[in-house]
Amino acid sequence: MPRALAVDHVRERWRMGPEARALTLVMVLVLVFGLAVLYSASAIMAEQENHNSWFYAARQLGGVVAGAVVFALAAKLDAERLSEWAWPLMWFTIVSLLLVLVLPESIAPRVNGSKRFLFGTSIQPSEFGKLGVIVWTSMLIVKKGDQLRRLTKGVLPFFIVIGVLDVLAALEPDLSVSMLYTLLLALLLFAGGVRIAHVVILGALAIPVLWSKVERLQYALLRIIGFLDPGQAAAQVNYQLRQSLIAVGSGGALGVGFGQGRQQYGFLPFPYSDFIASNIGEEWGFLGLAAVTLAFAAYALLGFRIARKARSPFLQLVAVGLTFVTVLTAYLHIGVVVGLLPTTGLTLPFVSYGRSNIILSMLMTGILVNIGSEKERVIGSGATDPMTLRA
Amino acid sequence: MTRSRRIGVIHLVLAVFVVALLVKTAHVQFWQRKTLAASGAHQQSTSRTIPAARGEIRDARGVMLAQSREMVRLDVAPREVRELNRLRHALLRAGIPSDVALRATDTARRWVSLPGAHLAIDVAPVSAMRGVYTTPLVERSYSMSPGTRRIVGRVDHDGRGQDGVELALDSLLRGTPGVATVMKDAQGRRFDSPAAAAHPPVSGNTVVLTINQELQDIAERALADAVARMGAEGGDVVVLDPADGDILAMASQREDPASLAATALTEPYEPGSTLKPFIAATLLEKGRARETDVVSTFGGKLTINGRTFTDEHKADHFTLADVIRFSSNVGIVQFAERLSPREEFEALRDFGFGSPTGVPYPVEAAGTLREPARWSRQSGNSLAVGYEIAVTPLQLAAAYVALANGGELLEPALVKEVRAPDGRVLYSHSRQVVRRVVSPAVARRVRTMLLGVVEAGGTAKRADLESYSLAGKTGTARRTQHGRYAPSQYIPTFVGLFPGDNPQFVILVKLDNPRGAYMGGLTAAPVTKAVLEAALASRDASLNRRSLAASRHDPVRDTAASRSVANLAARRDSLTVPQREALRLAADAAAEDSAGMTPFVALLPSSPPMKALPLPPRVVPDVRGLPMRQAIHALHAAGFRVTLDSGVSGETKPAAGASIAAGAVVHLLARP
Repeated sequence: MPRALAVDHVRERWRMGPEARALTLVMVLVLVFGLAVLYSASAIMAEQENHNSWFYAARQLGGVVAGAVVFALAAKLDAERLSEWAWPLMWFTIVSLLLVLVLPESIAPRVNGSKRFLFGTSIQPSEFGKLGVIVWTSMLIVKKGDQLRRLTKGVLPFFIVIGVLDVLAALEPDLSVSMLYTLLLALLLFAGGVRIAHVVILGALAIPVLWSKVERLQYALLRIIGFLDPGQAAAQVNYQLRQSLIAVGSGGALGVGFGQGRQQYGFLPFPYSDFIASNIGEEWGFLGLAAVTLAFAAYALLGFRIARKARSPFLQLVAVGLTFVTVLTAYLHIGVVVGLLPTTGLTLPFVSYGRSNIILSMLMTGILVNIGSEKERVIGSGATDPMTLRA
Repeated sequence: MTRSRRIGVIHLVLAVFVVALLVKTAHVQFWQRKTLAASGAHQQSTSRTIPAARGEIRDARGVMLAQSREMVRLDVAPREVRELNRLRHALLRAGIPSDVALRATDTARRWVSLPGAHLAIDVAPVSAMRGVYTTPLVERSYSMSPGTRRIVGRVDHDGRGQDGVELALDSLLRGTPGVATVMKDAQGRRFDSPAAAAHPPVSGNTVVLTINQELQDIAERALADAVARMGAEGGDVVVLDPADGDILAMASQREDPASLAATALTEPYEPGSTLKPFIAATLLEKGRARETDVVSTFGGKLTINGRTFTDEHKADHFTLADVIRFSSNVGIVQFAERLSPREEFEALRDFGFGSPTGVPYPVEAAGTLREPARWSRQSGNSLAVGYEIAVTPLQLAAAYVALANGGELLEPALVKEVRAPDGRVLYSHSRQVVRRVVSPAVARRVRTMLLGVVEAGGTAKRADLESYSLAGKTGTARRTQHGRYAPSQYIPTFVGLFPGDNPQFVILVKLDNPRGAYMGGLTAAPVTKAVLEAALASRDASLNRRSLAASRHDPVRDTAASRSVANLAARRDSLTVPQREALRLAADAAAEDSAGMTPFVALLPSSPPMKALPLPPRVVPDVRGLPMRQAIHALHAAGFRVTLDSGVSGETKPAAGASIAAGAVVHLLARP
């Protein structure tokens, strides 16, 4: 689509739909709350590292500002053009994942036993890979059309390409990412109308991969049983989860108060990222944690509504993928923190510390907002296009 | 549309997830809240023991004998210090050596512990600075008199009583340490939190001894002087108040510098002739003899039951009074034959020999007094002259107290009063009568005999004072070493009752192996005289001046002592301070005839006498993390009583590591 008609007093602009506006509001609320939480969760840590107490919060704010620019650009960019970028995005993902594996540790350092990052810990290719997987899969599903209902010509190519990504991620090793990619693929295929039987067959093929995670699945089952029947709760609780539960449990209904939490005094592992929801639970109580959970539920509701109303099947699938990946990450993070799920290193979108992460989350929300917007034509004196002015 | 429905399915799955999350969150934050919060508090806080100030020990007049001062130990973390130069100057101003101050401000070091303890007030500007850490500690300081320290004892570097009263009354002196809750992080670094609970420490009680510091010093000096002059190996002086059994002074000296005990109640010895008056008193009490009864003394030598007794003062006949006056062994052995072994044993036992006096001192010797069943044929005779029996100087003095006060054996008292930090009197000594041993009349008759000892011709005329009558008895016993009598080694003893007619002091002086003249009358008696003269000269030596003035015998009119004005005038040059004092006192007594010279006596409800030695303090074991059953068991096993309290689970009050008296109550905090 043409970006802007170069007619002086007629221009097209994106008008956000009510869902897109509400989604932006939800994002802003979570971001603001997230900055406050991050300050409290990271202040002690920052001081111990001889920084100011607001060191991490300030850097995060920088990330939010950059994210806001990215968000605005994404919201004003026709998301349909993403389908043209699907293959480049996919190639970029594959190459960057390869680079992580191939490059020496001076550029791609090994952190906690796995090579996931480039240039220190600033870029995590597998994170941007999520966007690549969503866009590429959606593009191909739409392109395949009715062929999707066939196994070899329809479904198999997806699994070959995503399988390559999975193997690369698994080599880092980061099995969680492999699982997430596969899950996203399955989700989009399901939403795209693939036969249920195919999903079941391919799901059965995935069992060997899942086998390595059987312990964790068993754990999750035990936790669920234990929580349905507290008297039988016998699952072994590891140190990190124990500290998280102490934090969340101490919070009670209304929390111990902002900045009053004790668990960030070195007890909670990564209180500013992987366990930031523990801090919400401790300082803001059930009220805060439920509010955050419900904010992401609202994000899901709005995201899926945007998907249903999307301009094209491609955008519909992209919207489902983007909504799902953000909301699922948040739920998994909270699930870990309250002991519902085994401990994984998932961050809470918009809240956990990490600038590239926050920029990515805001970029994805921006795309969602664009999908939730419609193009309208403005004629007359108000039709000054800021884009052309800048150019 | 199928795609829209499939999106609905995905949304539904996520919605179910949300419900599961909310339920689980509620479960953790409502149902498990208490246990989780408790384990949080457990790992986030720890309790710190705040030491309690140890109680003071004072003498009967309030003179400080032992007190605790709060000191601090300083540690510096140079890298945390903001203004190194300011800290260095502050350290120098506080009197820290410059090399130490330099080291403490050297950022190449992480942690510098400053040597020694400092008065908190001296280093206050230093301890207020960032990077300076203080550890409070309590230092015990004592009065200078080494003799008092044998009684008072010492504490170790943890402030626990090691010996003496410090140990015996440790549980009273120690106080209850306080507990402060300190927050800590995962690395165990501690930081104070104003919100944390704290229990302030309770200071120890003040113990007031019956000892009169001034009289104690007089006794110390007189003893030291005598030991040096006579080349003795040591000696003991005990001064008791016969009215209520108070130990007014208890001085000891030994050659062994490691000897720090109050040997007057730890080292028994054979008292020799000082035991004779008790045989005489028993005979009078039982009506078996009178002062005027005469026995033949065979020129001072008698062999009876295979043992030969000799007298220093050789005569053919002695009355009972003369037997005491001249300390005739031959005479007393024959008089003692009038008592059955059982009677003789019981009499000596009733005077308190063979059993501890019950003074609150960590160790006290009971002495030896054997049952008649274990006697040999000679035992009855030996006992009569003070052998085959071992007594401590304190026991012997306490037995003389019975003769001095009209026949009642009193429990000697070392502690006059125990006061709580807020001034409440917890214990006040009142006269504790063990038993009546002889009637007042018999006691008086024995005292009259003892007056003869000190008069001209008696064995202790060297103890005679010019203005006051002194009753007493000498004794010179052979010294045992390693279970046998050492050749030509003696222990002379003199027990004096002053003044003789209405005694205010019972003074026992005992010397170990003086060289040269060894007889009690020549060695120990003059020490008694020196003590009394100094006590009379002193303003403050527990003497009741008014009643003393009444019993002063006027040198001019005193014909019984064969004194004359001329005699006194001839000696005027050497008129001693006590004599002048006595004259002044007589005037005072006349002036204040009806006024307040009589000490005001307030009778307080008497507490049971503190006889049992307190068990040594114990350390509260660390029961954190133990199940409650085991925790209680561990605390019981450590010798504490346990009460359950609500609080941070597993913590105790006092905190683990605190040293408190055995049998004290420990509060075990359980889950609320």
